[in-house]
Amino acid sequence: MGSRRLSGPRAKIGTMSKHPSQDPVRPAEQHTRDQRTSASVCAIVPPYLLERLALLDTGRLAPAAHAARGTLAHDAGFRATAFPWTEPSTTGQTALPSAGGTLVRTIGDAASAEVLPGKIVRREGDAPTGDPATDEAYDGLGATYRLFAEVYGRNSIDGSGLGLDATVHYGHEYDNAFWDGAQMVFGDGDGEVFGRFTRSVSVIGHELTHGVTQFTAGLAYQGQSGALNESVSDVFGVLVEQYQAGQSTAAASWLIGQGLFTAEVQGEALRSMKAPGTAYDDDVLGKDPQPAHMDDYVQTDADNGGVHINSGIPNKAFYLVAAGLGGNAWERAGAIWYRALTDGELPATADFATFAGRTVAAATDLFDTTAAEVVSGAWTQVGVTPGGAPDVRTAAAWVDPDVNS
Amino acid sequence: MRVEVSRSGGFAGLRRTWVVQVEETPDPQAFLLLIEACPWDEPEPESSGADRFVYQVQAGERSATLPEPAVQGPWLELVDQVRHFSAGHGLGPVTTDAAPADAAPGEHAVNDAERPPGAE
Repeated sequence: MGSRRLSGPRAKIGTMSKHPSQDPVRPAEQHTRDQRTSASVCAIVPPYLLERLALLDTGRLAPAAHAARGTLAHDAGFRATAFPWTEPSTTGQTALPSAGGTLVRTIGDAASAEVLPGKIVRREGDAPTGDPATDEAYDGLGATYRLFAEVYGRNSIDGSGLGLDATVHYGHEYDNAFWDGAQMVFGDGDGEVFGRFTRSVSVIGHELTHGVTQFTAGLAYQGQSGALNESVSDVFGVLVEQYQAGQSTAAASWLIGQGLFTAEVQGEALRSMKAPGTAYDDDVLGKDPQPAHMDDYVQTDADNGGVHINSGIPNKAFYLVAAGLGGNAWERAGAIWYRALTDGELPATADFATFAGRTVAAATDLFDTTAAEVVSGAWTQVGVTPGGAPDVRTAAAWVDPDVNS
Repeated sequence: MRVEVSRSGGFAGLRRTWVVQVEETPDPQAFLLLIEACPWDEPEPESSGADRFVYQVQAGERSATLPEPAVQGPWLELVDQVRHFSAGHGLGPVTTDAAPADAAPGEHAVNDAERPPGAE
């Protein structure tokens, strides 16, 4: 394991550009940066730094500013532009049966640059391309769409048939997948710790669910509400996988990101909802740090307050609800979580207790007091006391006595 | 001057840390120039989206927390250079934000201890 490389030092740091026109210099810059193996920082100065230096007219940096202006003028002709999204093709589309909606997928290929969306390589209804990342993303988006449409009656992430866009092959040895607020983005991994991030359907479902959350409860991506945002994505990510495979709660792995690690890593997956903290235990990566109980909640400034760490607590609660209710998790447990997320009652800054209270209310509304007791009991087992009034109608009228007093 | 870049978050939630001593780089003056070019005093930008990386950059007494989309321009160059010149040619150690195994109940210190490059 000692020879295992974790990530190339030249791995690129992300840029976010929902609109390609905002990011016109990346391809040219990529070319420049890949050439930069010199030991001197100044040997290869990227355009943005030149631009900054060019603005400095006085003092010790004046000569550098002059040189920078000259270099910028020289380089202007080399700037490239990103590929724009174009309208979905109107021919050859196949609409899957859904709750009155239409599935429209568009997959872009960033070709190892940090550009969005990249060159469009597969549209809705197109035949498989033969590129695994492209076809896995396409299929994963379809599987996610089907769960939300067929089980919860939701037409795409916004409820109104929004097209599902994803970019694959993003960045160089890029160890991540993310939702940028408008589309999904998948890296290829470094090949030594992580393989490509499209390999797991749960990852694709996870990213798309961030879109659903954005259009519904809008859970703030910080602290407990951020951990809930993460947990909700894990919940529906595994449910996409379970629904696709027809797996019951008892048969499912409850793992997030199974197959993402290369064979060199000692670990099955990135997270386990059934047993948070046990997904991996590797000599280089360390041990899966997720807590499964509020007693072990991790206070940290990193990762927006540990949103990927503390999500283990609500993840475990969901598993316990699914196990307590039995059968297929997407049917009752999933329906309860979906109701809590989307009924408009959940504040964007909800903490675990508030969310727990909303799930108890949802279980009461959708099913019965027995189901509500299972939900309440699950939260109690992870150290969370469901908060808020159990009755939705009284909760809506409740006013914080500390406000305006 | 010691410069540290710590990257947390991402889908995996793994923390990576890279450290460089400016004096030990081939061109310390250029490195210092790059540090000066970074907008340390600007308000920390808000992030959007989910599963993005978060960067914490510290150079001497100065520090900044940057969501991944804000790592642009001189910040991007600085992060890249620290990774490049970090001990072990940028193979920074991986740490996770776990409470140490020996922490007493109720203590949830973040394990930020650096592991030597190539740690077994």
